[in-house]
Amino acid sequence: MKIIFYITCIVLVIVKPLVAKSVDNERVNQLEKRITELELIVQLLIKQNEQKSILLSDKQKVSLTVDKNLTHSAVANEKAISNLESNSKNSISTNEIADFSSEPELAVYLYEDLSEELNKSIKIAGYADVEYRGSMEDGVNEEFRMHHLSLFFSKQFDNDVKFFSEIEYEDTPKFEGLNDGSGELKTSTGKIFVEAINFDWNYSQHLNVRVGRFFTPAGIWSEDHYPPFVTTQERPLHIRKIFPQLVDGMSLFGSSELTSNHFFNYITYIGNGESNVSGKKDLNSSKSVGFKGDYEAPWLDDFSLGFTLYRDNNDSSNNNAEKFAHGYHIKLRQGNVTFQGEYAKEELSFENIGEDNISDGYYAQFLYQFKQWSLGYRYDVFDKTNHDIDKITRNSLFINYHLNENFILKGEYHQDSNDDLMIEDYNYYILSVTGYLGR
Amino acid sequence: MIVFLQKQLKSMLLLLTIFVLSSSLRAQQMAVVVNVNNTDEITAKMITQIYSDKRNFWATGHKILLFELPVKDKGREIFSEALLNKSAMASQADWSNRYVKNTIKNKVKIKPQKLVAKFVSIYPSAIGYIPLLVAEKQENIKIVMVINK
Repeated sequence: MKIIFYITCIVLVIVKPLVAKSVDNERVNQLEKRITELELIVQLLIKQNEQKSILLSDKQKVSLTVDKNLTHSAVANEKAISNLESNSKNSISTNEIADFSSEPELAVYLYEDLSEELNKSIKIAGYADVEYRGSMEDGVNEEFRMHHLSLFFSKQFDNDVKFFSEIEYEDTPKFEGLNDGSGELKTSTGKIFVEAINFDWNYSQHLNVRVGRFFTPAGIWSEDHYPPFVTTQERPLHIRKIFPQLVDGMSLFGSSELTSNHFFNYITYIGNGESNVSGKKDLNSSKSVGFKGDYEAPWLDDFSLGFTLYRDNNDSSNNNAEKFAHGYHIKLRQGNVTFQGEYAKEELSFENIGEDNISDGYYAQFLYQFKQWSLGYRYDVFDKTNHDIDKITRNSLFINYHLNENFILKGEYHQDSNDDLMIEDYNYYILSVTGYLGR
Repeated sequence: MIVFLQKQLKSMLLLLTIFVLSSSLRAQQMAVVVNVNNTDEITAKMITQIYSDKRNFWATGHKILLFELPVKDKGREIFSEALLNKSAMASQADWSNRYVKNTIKNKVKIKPQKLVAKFVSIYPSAIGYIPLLVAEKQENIKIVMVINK
C-alpha cells in the first residue's frame, strides 16, 4: 500500500509538471495560431481599406503615404480585434478567404499606382566625366580634367506637358567672394551653365510644341553629344561653329509615317539667334529661324538621312551679318558597323564690307562594336574662311569599353594638321571615364 | 529480369534527358506579347520601330505602352539581338541617350517578367516580351511573335 502511495506521489511530482508543460505548449500553439490568423486578417483589412480609398478617389489617384498606411493599420487593427471577438471559432470567413484570390491583382494595381506617382514626381538624372589629357604641343602639360558634371531635372505634368532642364558644371566651378562687403570675387573658375530649360506640350505624334532653351536641332552631333553616349570627348571641328549651340525660343516638332515603315521627322524653330544675351535680352529685333528634316527608312538596321537650314538676318555675333547655314547628315548601321557623317556650310553677308565669308566643315566616322568594345576612326575637316589657309584637318582614332550600359572607359588619339604654316601641327590624346547617373 | 530493368532504366533516363533538354530549349524562346484586345497587325519591323522609339501609336490612335525587361535579364539580350540587332546594353544606352537629348517620344517601363505579363494583360495598349513559358500561362495576352535563340 505504501509502495502504491509512493509511486502515486512520484507520479504526481514528476508527471504533473510534464502534463502542465504539454498543456502550456498546446496553449502557446493555440495562441500562435490565433496571432497568425490575426495577422492575416490585419493584412486583409489593410488591403481592403486601401482598395476602398483608391476606389473612392479613383480619378484623383490617392497617393500612398507612410502616414496613411499607419492610419490604415490602426483602423485595420481595431476591426480585426472586433472581428476576432465576434467570430472566435472561425476567425477567417469563407468570403474573406475568397478575397485573398484577388490580392495579386490588387498588388499589381497598387504597384502601378505607386509607379504613376513616381512618374509624376520630378526626375533627376545626370552624367559626369573625368579626363586625362596629354599633348605633343610644346608647353602643354599632361593633366587631369574634371570636365563635366551635368544634372537633368524633368517632370511630367498632366495634359501631356513636360518640363526638362540641364544644368552643367564644367571644370569644377568655384566662385568665392572677398567677404569685405565689396561684392567682388576672390576666385572665379569653371563654368555653371543652364544648357536647357524648356516646356513641351506633346499634342500628338505629328505635332508637339517646345518653348524655352534647347540645343539647336542641326545635324547629328549638335544634339547627340553627351559623353556617356558618344565615342569621343572631342567633338568634330565644325560643330557649334556653323550652327549655334543653343536656341532660346520656340519650336514645333513631330513625326509622320510617309508610307509603310518610312518616317519623316521635322523640327522647326524661331529664336533670339546668337545675338541672344544670358537668356534675357536679344540685341536686335530680328529672329533666327531654322528647320531640320530627317528621313528614316526601314533599310539596314538603321537608316537616317537629313538636312538642316538656318537663317538669321541680323547676326550680332558676326558683326550683324546676314547669316545663312545649311547642313546634311547621314547615319547608317548594319549589325556591329555604324557610319555617320555630317556636312555644314555657313554664308555670312556683310552690308558694309564688300566681301562675304564662307566657312564649312564635315566629318565621316566609322564605328565597329564588338560586345562591350567599340573601335572607330573619324576624318574631320573645318575651314573657317573661304581662304584655305584656315583649314584644319583632324584624324582621330578611338576605343571605348562599356563596363555596363551607363559607364564607359574611353581612349582617343587625335592628329591635327593646319594649312596655316604659322601654326604647328600636333597630336594629343584623352583618356576618360564617363558615367550616366540616371536609371 | 535484371537486364529488362536495366533496359527500362536506360529508356527512362533517355526520356528524362530529352525532356530536360527540350525544357531548357523552350526557356530560350521569347514571345512578344500584346493585350488580347489589340487589333493591330503587328510585324517584326513594327516591333523594331516601337522599341527604337520611332513608332509610338497604335493604328487606333492610342499611345503605345512599352515594357522592357531589365538589362541583366537574359530575355532582354535575346530580344535585343533578334529584333534590334544590338546588345541589351546598347539598347538601354539608346533609351538613356534619348532621355538626355530630350528627344524621347515614348516612355519605357522596365519591369520583371511576371509584371510585364500582368501589365500587358491589363492594359489594352501595352506591348512587352516575356519567355514563351510565361506567356503561355498568362491570360488576356496575345502572342504576336516568337523569338527562337
